[in-house]
Formats: sequence, structure tokens, C-alpha cells
Amino acid sequence: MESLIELKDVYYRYQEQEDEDWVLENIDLEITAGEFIAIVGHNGSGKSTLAKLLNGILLPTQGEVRVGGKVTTEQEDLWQLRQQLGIVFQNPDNQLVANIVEEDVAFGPENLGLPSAEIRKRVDEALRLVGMTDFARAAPHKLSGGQKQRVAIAGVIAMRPDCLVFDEPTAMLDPQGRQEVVETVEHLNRQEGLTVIYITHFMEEIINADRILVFADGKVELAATPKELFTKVDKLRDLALDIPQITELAYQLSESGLDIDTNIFTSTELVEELCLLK
Amino acid sequence: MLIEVDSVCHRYSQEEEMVLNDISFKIERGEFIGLIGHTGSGKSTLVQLLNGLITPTAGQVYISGEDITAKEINLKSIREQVGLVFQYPEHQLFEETVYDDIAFGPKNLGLSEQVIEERVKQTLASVNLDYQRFKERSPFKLSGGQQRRVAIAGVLAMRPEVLILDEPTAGLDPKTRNEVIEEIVKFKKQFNLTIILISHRMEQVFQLADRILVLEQGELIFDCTPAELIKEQQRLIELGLSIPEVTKVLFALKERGYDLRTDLFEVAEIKEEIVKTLIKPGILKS
Repeated sequence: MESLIELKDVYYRYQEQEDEDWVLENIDLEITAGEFIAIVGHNGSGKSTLAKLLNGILLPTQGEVRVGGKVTTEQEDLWQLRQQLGIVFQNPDNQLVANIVEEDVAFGPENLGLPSAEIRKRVDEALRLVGMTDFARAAPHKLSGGQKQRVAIAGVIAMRPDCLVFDEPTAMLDPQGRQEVVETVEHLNRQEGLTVIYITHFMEEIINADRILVFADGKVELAATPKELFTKVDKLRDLALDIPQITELAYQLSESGLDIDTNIFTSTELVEELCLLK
Repeated sequence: MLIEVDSVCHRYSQEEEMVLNDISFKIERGEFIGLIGHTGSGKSTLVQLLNGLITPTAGQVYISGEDITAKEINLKSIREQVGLVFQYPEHQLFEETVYDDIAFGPKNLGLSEQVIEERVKQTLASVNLDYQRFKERSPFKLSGGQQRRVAIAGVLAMRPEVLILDEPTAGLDPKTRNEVIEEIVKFKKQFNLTIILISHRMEQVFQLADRILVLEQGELIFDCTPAELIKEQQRLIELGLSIPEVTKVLFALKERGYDLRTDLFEVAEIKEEIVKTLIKPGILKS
């Protein structure tokens, strides 16, 4: 299948820092439509820079970034490219502009100059997809963190993108808010077929990703499925990445001689494994 | 008693609902307190009451026996005693050098240059930043984790007795997060601090705290040890607060008839408990 997103031999560093190391180095990446790609790595590993390269906020120092066949350096295509690929950032408060939820979601489509019936349709659909229909007339500042972030997602969806990029969307949320956002993202990927690129520090949020890319020092250090990655407990420790506590526990139990699968991410799975020992 | 909160109610305006409703608790010197609850449950309001940023609508707050809600109170001395590290404190860094940023508070206390320098040195060491290497650097050109540490050091340099940390590891990567937690544990001991930690990370709170306060819609619904609180797991889950995922394994095993402890929160301890329990019925050969 044809790639939706393609990075060819991409290098990036900030202009004023020519003597310094590359922020991103030698990135080759193809993402197929409908994939759920997770990106993890330290602060400073280049994850967020990658997100900004994808929609042309930043342009590669060398190499080429294509979205839907369009190159990000082509100024004329950039507007359309950004409709195709929307980004959701960490802090929902910085992303909401209007005083009423539905007006906020309508902001993007209005700027496209769409007829009002079409805008209405898109806003309703976007709010439905993130489960916020009941809050259409609410004031954003009265919402919880998770709800605000879902409104921010609706604002991006209303542009009808093919791909959504999430840059640590749950970093500022409480556990319930995190759960809401993760469920929304999974729904959009599975039911609506949107391509998702999801940057996070929370490993337990990406156990359903198709592929996980581990960034370190500006490079893709490791690319694997969640099952492959989470069994490499030693490797994850070396990279100082989070290991889901349950996976860590399963690993330690197997080290102690219990014959159990260490490919485990939830307490329910681990309990099932342990009870099979009988 | 270092901190005593007595029947405190608070609302931001007459028209609005109570943000805090009849809250009472005590904290002794040297305790490590975890404060949990949803966004909007009143946690931030509560900690702002503790250092006099807000005066409660009703009720009293005593710090070392002094009623800080009284009109004639010297708030400056209260803020010396109770240091507050806000969420994302690095957004409040503003000086040109790391040294000046940390020295800002102590300078306002009117301390001598020599004492200030001593404090900057000591607090930088407490957050694992090398004095010589960092003192002249611009706080804006540091990594996120380094900025967070400088911001924490700025509050520590005031030598508070109580340090309140609101989500001190939010947004940090796992490695930095663990380092910052270790530093907190270390400097708590070093300065004999009383700590109030607000965190959404249950495994963090359950492992670190001597006692946990749970706020729900402005009410203090639990004030107990982690081991006692874990018994309320059903209620916590209803509240959307959950319990550490690894502790859930113990509960599930118990439900299936195994006789084992459920009040453990650390992976290593839980592993031991499971191994011990499963060895007994002879499931494990060794």
C-alpha cells in the first residue's frame, strides 16, 4: 500500500546552532494510511521536532518530508497539507480560542470559507466522534482537562484530516482525563480509519499501537510492535524508558522461576497467567 | 503540630459553590503527605490556603501554632515557612543566570551575600546540578528537567519547613522523573522537611507517602495511610482515582482464594508476596 507519510533521509538542526549536534539525524520513515504509530523517547530526543516537521512548521535541513505525496517545502501546498495532517498539543488551554465549545470547533472550518450548513455538519460530527455532543454549548473553561483536550481534538477533526499527530496530549491530565483521550484516539484510529501518530511518555497508553518508534539522540533507536518492545525489559531499562509496572512485575516473577508469559500489560492478563500455573 | 487546618471552607465568590467544604486535618513535622483528587477537586486551592496565598472564607489554618488567617499576620514569615512549588514551575524562571534565579528569594529575605551563596550552592547540590557548571548559565537554555530542578531549588533556598510540590514530575520523561523523585526523598531527609505532594500518579503517592489525603468535590473523604486507603479500592475506582496497577494483581488473586497481603505497592515487594504465596501450594518447584 502507498505511504501516507514519507520521510527520506531527514536531518534537522536549528539554524543558529550550526556547530551543534543534529536534533534529528538520518530519519527514514514510511507510514501507511490507517496506521497507529507511537513515538517515545526522552525529552530532547527529537520527538516534538518530528511532529513539527510533519506539517511544515519546521522544514528539514536536509532530506524531504512528504504527506499525501506533497512535499512540506512546497509553500503552495502547505495550506492543503496542514488540512490533511492536524496536530494536537500538550496543553488544551493554549489550543481553545472561543467562548463556546461548538464555536471553537467551528473555528477551523470557518477559516476554510465553507458554507454554514457544511460547517454545522462538520462540527456536529466532530463533537460526536469525541463524545462531546452534550457539551456543544458549554464554556470551554468550565470543562475538565480531558474534556478540553477532546474539544481540541474535535477542532482538528472538523478540518477532515487524514492524519492526526498528538504531541503528549495527556501530559497535563489526571488519570481519568488521560483515559478519555486515549479511548478517543483509539476510536478515531479504529472506527474512523484515521492515521495516528502519538507521542507520549506513558507506555500504557500505546499498548494498542501498530508500531512503536523509540527515539534517542535524534535517531530512531528501535522500531517494534508493543509486544516485541515490552518484552525487551533490559533494553527499555538501558534506554531509561518506562516499563509498565505490570510488565516489570511479570518479568521479575519469571526471573524468580515462575513459568509465565512476560508479554503482559494489564493486571487482568497477569492474574490469568498466574492462575494457569495451577 | 506543624500544620492544623480547622473547619476550612472556601469559595471564590458569593455566587459560586464551595470549592472546599469543612476541611479539617493535622500534619506533623517530618511527615510525607500525598494529596490526591481529580482536577477541580480543590487540591490547588487547599495548598494555596496553607501558605496564605488565599484566605479561607471560613475556618482557621495554623502553621506552627500561629493562625495565618488572622488579619495582623505576617505573611512573609509564613511563606518562608511554607514553600510552594507550582505545576510547571519552570515557567516562572526569569533571571539571567541560574545563580540569580535561585538567589532571588533569599535576597528578599535580606540575607548576606555569603549566606546567599552558601544556600545557592547547597540547594543546587540537592537537585543534583553542579554549582560551577550551572551558576552562570541562563535558565532558559537548560533542558526541561534542569529547568524544573532550578525552579525547585529556588523554593528550597528559602529553607522552608514545609515544601508543597504540585505535580513536580508532570511532563518529565521517565528517567528525569525518577531522578527528581529520588532528589525529593533525599533533600526531605537532608533538610528534615515536611512534604505535601500532589500527584496523579498513584504508584508514586502510594510508595512515597506516610499518609494520603483524598479530596473529592471539595470534601476531604479520606485521611489515612496508604495501607488503609488501599482497602477502599472499590471506592477509589468509583471516584476514577484507581489504585496502582500492580496492587490490583494482589486483590484479584485474593478474590480467587489465595491468602495474601493486598497492602503492598512496590513491584519488588509484590513479587515476593506472589512468589511466597504460590510456593506454598507447591506451584513453584524451587
